[in-house]
Amino acid sequence: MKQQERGRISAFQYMCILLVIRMTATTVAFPFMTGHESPTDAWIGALIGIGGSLVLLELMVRLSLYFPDMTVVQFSQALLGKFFGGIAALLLVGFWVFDAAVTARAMGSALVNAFMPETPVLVFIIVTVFFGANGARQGLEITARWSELATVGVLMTAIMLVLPFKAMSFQNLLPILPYGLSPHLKRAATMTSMFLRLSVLGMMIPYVRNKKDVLRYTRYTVIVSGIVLTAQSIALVAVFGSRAATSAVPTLQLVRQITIGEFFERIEIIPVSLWLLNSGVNIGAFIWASSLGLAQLFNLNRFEPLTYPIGGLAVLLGMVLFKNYVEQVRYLIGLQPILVPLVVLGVYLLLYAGFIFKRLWFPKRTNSGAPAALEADPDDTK
Amino acid sequence: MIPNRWLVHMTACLVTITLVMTVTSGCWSRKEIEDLAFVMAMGVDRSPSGNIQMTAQFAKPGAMGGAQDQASQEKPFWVATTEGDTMFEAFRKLGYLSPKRPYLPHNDFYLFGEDIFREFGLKPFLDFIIRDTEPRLSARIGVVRSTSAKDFLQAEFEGMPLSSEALRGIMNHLMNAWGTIPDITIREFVDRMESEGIEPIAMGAELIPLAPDVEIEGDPTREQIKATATLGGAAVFKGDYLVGWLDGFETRGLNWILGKVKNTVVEFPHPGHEDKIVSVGILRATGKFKVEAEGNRVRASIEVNAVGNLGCVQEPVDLMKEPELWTKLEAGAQSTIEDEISRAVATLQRLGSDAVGFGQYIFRRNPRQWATLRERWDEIFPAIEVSTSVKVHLREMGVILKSTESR
Amino acid sequence: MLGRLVKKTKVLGWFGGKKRSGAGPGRKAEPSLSLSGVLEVDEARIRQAFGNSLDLVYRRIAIGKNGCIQALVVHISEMVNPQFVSNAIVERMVDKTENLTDPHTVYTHIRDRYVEVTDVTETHDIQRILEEITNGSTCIFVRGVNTAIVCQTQGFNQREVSQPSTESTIRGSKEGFVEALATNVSLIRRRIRNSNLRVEHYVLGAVSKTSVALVYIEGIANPGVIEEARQRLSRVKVDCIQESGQLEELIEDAPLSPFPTLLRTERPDRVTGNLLEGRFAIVTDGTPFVLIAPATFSMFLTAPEDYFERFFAGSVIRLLRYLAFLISLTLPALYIAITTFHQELLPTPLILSIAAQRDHIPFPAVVEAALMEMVFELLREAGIRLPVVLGQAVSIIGALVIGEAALRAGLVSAAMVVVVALTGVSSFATPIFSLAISVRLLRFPLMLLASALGLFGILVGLAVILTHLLALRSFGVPYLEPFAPFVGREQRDAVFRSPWWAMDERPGFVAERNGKRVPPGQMPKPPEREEGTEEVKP
Repeated sequence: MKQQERGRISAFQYMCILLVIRMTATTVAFPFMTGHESPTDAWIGALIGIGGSLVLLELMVRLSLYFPDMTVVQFSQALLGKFFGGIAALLLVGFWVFDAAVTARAMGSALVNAFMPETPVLVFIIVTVFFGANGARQGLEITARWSELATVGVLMTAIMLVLPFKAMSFQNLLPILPYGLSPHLKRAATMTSMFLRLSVLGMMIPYVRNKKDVLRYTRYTVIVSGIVLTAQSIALVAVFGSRAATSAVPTLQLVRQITIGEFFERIEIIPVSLWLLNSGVNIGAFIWASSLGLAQLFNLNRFEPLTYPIGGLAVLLGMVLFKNYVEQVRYLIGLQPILVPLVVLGVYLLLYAGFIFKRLWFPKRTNSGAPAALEADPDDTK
Repeated sequence: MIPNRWLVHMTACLVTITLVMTVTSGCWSRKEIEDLAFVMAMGVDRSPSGNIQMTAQFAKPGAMGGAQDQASQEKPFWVATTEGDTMFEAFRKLGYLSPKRPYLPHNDFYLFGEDIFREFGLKPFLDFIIRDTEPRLSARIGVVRSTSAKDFLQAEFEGMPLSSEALRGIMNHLMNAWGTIPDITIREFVDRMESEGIEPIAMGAELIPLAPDVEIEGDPTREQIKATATLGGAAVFKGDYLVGWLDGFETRGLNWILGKVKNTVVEFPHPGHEDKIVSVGILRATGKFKVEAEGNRVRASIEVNAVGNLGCVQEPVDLMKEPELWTKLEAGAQSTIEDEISRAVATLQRLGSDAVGFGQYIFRRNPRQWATLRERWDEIFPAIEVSTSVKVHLREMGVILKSTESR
Repeated sequence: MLGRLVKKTKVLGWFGGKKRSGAGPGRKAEPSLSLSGVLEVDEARIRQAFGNSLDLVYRRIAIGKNGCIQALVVHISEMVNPQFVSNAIVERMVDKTENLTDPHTVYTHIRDRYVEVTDVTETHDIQRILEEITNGSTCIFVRGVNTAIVCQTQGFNQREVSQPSTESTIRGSKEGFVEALATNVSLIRRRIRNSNLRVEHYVLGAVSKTSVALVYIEGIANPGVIEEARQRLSRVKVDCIQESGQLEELIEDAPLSPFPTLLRTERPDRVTGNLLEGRFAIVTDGTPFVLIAPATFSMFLTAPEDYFERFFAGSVIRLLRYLAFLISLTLPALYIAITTFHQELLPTPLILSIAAQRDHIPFPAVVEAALMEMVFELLREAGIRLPVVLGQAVSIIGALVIGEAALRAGLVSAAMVVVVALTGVSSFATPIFSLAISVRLLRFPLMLLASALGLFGILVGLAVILTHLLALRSFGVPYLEPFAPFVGREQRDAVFRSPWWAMDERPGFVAERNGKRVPPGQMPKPPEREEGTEEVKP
């Protein structure tokens, strides 16, 4: 195997990257809330979704930990064979590029919608993706350090949710379950699909120094982001009541309510700047993962030259994916909860099937970690 | 990783981005501060031809002091009026009159003429305010009683030349020291409009015309003030339409129920002398209500607790000699508050608008029961039996023990 | 833990690939001529080597019984202490040798007994003799002996040790480095009286032969880092080292970065503090500025006083400095962004006031800001170049007259003047000038970006700068350590300064061994009193 990425990160940095990825996607658009049928008790659906995500991510991490030195791209080929494994890996890589594009577009259109209506969205997409690709090109370590800083942004966002407390009325959270559980199950799927974006962890785990902590920190990620997201949905309803579900950019509307001493109003640009930073880091992580994945798939020596082309692809996708904002919102709440689990869970189901199959086939050798029989290609090792 | 190479790369990138952005951007979203006309208050009326008539009050920053050492004698605002089919169009049309670009984020007041809500309802106006990114959702919404918003915005105030600032001052004072106007922002207004079982209310605004020959002392160069304005009372809506008004004390009645009275003055007849008045300053008050529904019979119980001090008496009292007078004073205050509450509820029931949120109470506690009541709420609401219990505690009596008395 | 791991994987990898250069630092390897023992020949050779230089002293003396032996004393007149040479060398050579006749006996007696100099060596290498003479040594030749005695008699004029002019403090040592290397090293040694303090000598500059000393503490400093420093110093091949800034450019990690990766200081206490953290210092002869590396970003915003004043005050002032750094980097850009893009951010009274001020200004905000910043930089530069007395006059003219007049003429708004002044004051609060300069440079692209895309543009600019900082290393240590990579324990001495009894560890990235600095339990407590005993009265 060629060593394309030389950097090593700590488990804490790993958690930071995951947190940033998870939190940016929802900070501005928050598809979980958009068009919610039963907004007043939306937190129920959030909790269900978090529970589900916890289980799914645990399974994903455990599979990766069976191959501590291989990325998901590498061990998918080991499990499913060169061809089918390659296709599965390609699907994942494609999903990451796609998701980077969606993130860039969502951020860009939120900015255009809310701040600079005259500026073309392309400018924001290009700049954000450029920033991300530039970070990705420096390798995982730089992305990791960036995300450590961006995590501060995530935490500050969490604090900012409390700031409009003057406008909050927790009476708005009543009634509970006026429309039954079914809308919540649907929303739990949206929430879980957003958590499945964390499938990039399959690329990062081999580069984490302390593999023992990976599982623990993955759980922390889900729990911390879950708490923040639940708090976010509660804060939204407490401020806007049932209107929370009708806003195109709910969280943005929320931070707009922040006033400091009746003097400073409309300071939303500050959290928005933080989110923008986060989305850059997020896109950077996706671009890093997909270019490294491609490099490993085609056995290239270096992944760095791929970052800018993939960034360019993300910009292109970001521009052509949605014709207008309505399409984007419809994708986020309608298509994404189906498409993302289909791709990510589908690939992982296949991988697990392959894993169990191989385990049955070579029952003796699998006892000790990653067995040599599972290596992708004998020629490739060393 | 070779630092040199990527540094070159970084520097090149930074320079390119900077240049590209500077060159290409030119005009996107950029607006120099001196090219903006800050809308300080906006009025909307129905024009004679049936369109939307928008009146904007712009600040004249140059006339406000600022860089100059002394405030100029000029009026620090000016008013422009346009017409249009939609709010958006009418707002853009302000550009025909204003040499600077009208800019909304600093607007604190959206004032609507009384007619327009009776005739068109709310929907066509609010959509612009909540859809566009410029307006603040923490702005206040007011309905101008009996005159048009256009005339209202011409009003001037002494002491604070910029009339929107003055209105804000009056509003804050009324909310903090009287409680006779509803404390409702655009956001809460829209929330009430959309929520189950509650109807919106808005601040009432009134123009006070001054006699044309009134003499104004002081500053001789400043244009004579023709009218001033004040706030008070509440406009009551049902669904989309304005249906009536609560006067100041009725509004305070509503605020007692909602627990939104902070500090106010309550007056009642003197316990010993029926023709004399005692006034009490309320310092803080809490209010809550419960609604119980059994079939078609709905009962509401309201509980208000207030703490206050003796403010002033018209006829001397000697509380050292007659300590039982203290409870009488409390009872007097209680009856005034009870009276205000029942007047408020009666008026709302007469208008058929559930601005208190009795329905919402049921919806929040018991959504299934609300589903059965919802359709018939218009019939049920006017028949709701309301029981009120008010407790007032007087604490202090000022710095004298005994009133002044003439020999 | 984190630090160790990173160091093992990264620092060693970083240093691993470099080739070692074989030759010792600055030594000539080529063989050179030896002394002949014939005074005339040797003197001619030396005279030839120095040309007809004015400041060389060739003193022929006759020593031995009745002056039968010819000797030659050579030195440079202003490089030695003349009193010392005449008393301790010449006088004693004449007085003590009166009953000796054999040149060799005279020679050994002079070398071993008579010369009252502590550092005495001998050599027969003419090249070495030439070097020693230029260094201020006195060389003694005796007829018939083909070696020369070299006495260390340096005694040139040097500036008194005085208060450092660029880094002043209220509390703390008032001594600053001077231009002489030996004095500077002694200032360090006086503060760390430990045999583990190592001073390695290098001679850099093919022509100037400037002395450079690498100072570190054995057992605290990371040997890998020190080895890397040696490598880099020995790679330096220039004709002359005038100032440590020149050296800095030749050995730094990121030569194209606007940020300094070596810290320069005039204060011995700053050097010793950093030596004790495991860093090394490079002292250059001829300049009072000593380089310290590996340097991290937080060091540039640290003043020695933080450690001397009470730690609450130290922490708050340090926090203030970080704030000042941010202000000096972004304030003009923020002003531009807010007044041209995000007016909704400002409260109504403020926006009306700014709008009123800007009403008659002919320039867009970005031009106004750039103009004022430029004027400010001009004034600052003029103030530095002019003599102190005139400098004050310039600042009075600049600040009062130009500012006030521009304001009155309606060329700039009062708010802009405030912004520029605040930026200037904030940039003065950066303790290390080399960081302040780079911030001054970066301010302008940020202003351009702000005028193009508002806060979004500033964000992009800051993001690019930050990416650069994240990738930057100084001798293998990440520049933004301990913020990113985040090291929790080192937050005790980053933005906040913990009390001394709590800072029990050296920074993990820098010092490999001897991580512990203070034994635990140093927090002072009042003495425990037994029940009923009287309090001790003074």
